[in-house]
Amino acid sequence: MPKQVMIVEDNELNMKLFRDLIEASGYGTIQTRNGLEALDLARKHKPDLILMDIQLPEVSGLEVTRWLKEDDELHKIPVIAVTAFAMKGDEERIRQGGCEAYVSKPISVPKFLETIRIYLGDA
Amino acid sequence: MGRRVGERVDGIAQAWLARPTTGTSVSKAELRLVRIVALCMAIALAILPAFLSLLLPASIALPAGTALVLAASLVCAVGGIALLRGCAREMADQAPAPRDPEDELALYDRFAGLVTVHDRSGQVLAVRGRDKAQFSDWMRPLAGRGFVDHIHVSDRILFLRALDSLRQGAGEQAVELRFERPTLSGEQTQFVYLRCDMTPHETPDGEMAVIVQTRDISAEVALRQDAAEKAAQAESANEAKRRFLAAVSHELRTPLNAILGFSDVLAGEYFGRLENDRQREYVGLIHQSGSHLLSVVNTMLDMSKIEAGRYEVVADPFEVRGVVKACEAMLKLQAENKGVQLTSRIARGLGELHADRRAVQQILINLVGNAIKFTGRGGLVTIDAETDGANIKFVVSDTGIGIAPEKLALLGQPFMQIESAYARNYEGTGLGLALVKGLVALHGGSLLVESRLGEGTVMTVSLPIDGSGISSPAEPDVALPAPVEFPPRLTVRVDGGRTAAPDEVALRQGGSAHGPHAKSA
Repeated sequence: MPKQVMIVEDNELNMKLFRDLIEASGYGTIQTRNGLEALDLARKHKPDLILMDIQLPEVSGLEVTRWLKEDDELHKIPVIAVTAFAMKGDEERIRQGGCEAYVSKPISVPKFLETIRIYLGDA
Repeated sequence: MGRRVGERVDGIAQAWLARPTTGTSVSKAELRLVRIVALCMAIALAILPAFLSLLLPASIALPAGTALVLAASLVCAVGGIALLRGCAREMADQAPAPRDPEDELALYDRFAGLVTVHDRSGQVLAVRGRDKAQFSDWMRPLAGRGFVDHIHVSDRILFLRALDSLRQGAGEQAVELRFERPTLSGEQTQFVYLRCDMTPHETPDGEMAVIVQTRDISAEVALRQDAAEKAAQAESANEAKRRFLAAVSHELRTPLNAILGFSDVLAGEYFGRLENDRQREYVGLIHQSGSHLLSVVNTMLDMSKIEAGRYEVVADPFEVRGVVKACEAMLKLQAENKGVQLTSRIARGLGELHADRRAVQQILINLVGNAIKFTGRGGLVTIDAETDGANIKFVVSDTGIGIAPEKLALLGQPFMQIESAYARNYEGTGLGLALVKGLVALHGGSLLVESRLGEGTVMTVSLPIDGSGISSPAEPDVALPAPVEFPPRLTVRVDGGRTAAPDEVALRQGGSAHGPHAKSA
């Protein structure tokens, strides 16, 4: 059973890009466009890593991350924020929000894959 | 004894003096004068004939001396009284004319607008003023309660309050009031804006009155409202521009992720090799163009933030060398591709600069990028960094096309590329230098451009070493909480049948009060 990465991303193309890259690297994916659904899916599938878009419809990715980190079971799963908020100060805010790592959009593919491998313990 | 003599002198003098026309005070002064003259005459009468008798025979000296003293006294008394009366007349001329209330009111007819005299309670006692006809045809009855009754109900308190402060002893009051003026049909009323200048006044019988000069300021109020409206429009247009730029920038970044990401995947040949070099080149071009678009978007976003006063300068001390070297490394390839030599010279012992590192990096990248862009093959671009008093000076010089003197002033205006009017030989939005200007200004630094057409350009940026010139954002971004969901999206979502405004959406997404329970509620 390959390691599972959950992708929370509301943009179709970005979702496809991330999914293709991750699956090509030999990992399984769980996909959702919705922050609220992400919590349920995380409980159900217990992924090894979560990629979290910050700007999501309805609830922000930071909010979802906080719920994840407050959950007794789920708080151990590393969360990588992937966001177009590449402005100054965003990284600190996102890290303070409980995300283990931060990748800004547009991504650099090699760096993106490296970060994922590091947090899956395969680097 | 002297007193009795004095009274006697007065008695004689009063019989002789003609009655003065004004008052009794002058007559008193005249009597005093007569007394003094009489005293002097008595003394002189004793001394002068005796003194003369030393020089002349006594038979001549005594009558002559007596006659001399009498003549002199007469001249003094008459001359003095004449003088006193002259002065008194002059004083009488200067003193205010006796006041006649009717004359005074008539005077008010020369003042513009409506002039009304009110008693302590605001009742109108008299109606005057040059333009009173304009008011009296609708403010009926003007006398009595009419004036106050025509003030719009919610403004009446203003008038009464002003009246009250005058009663308390205030010097003057001015109030702008809406009056209700019946329309021609008489059924409805319309507002007229009037300005009332109120001055307290004491009537001859000691009563307090208030003189109110009323003028129609409807035109002025209309102008004022117009100006306020225009200001609000400009403000909202500015806000709309900022929101638009921010939203567009963000909406562009998202597809750029796909463009750059997928082209990166192809270039990296993650899913198998590309067939030939041309394909690889094209993929590289897609990526390159995407990167360029990204930098334009980022610059635009920064510009809009600077213009809106929302650019947050995060100042920390950092090594200047590192920033210069990073900039050089970043643009080396671009310079090499153009056949331009890029070098940097950093003064020995150049220490730390207290500034926003990212901003300084952007300043340098933009200046050096521009220098490379406008320098032809075989040219030279140099970055110098040195201390200059309390500043650190970055000098970016090139041997490029230069800028004509008359065009220098146009530099740094957004979307203004000097050559762009007739020949766009150089890509770019012209935003770069505008951004540099903005960032330098945020640090309290200066940007100096020297150039000679055909020879090259020298751009000098000076920034205070200790960060003393850094300005804080005009308005701290309190509206948007912790994870700033900025920029907001262009899309407007419908929430429970209600259309949410974009900023509400942004707030909601950024807000921290929405837990899963709040959501389900």
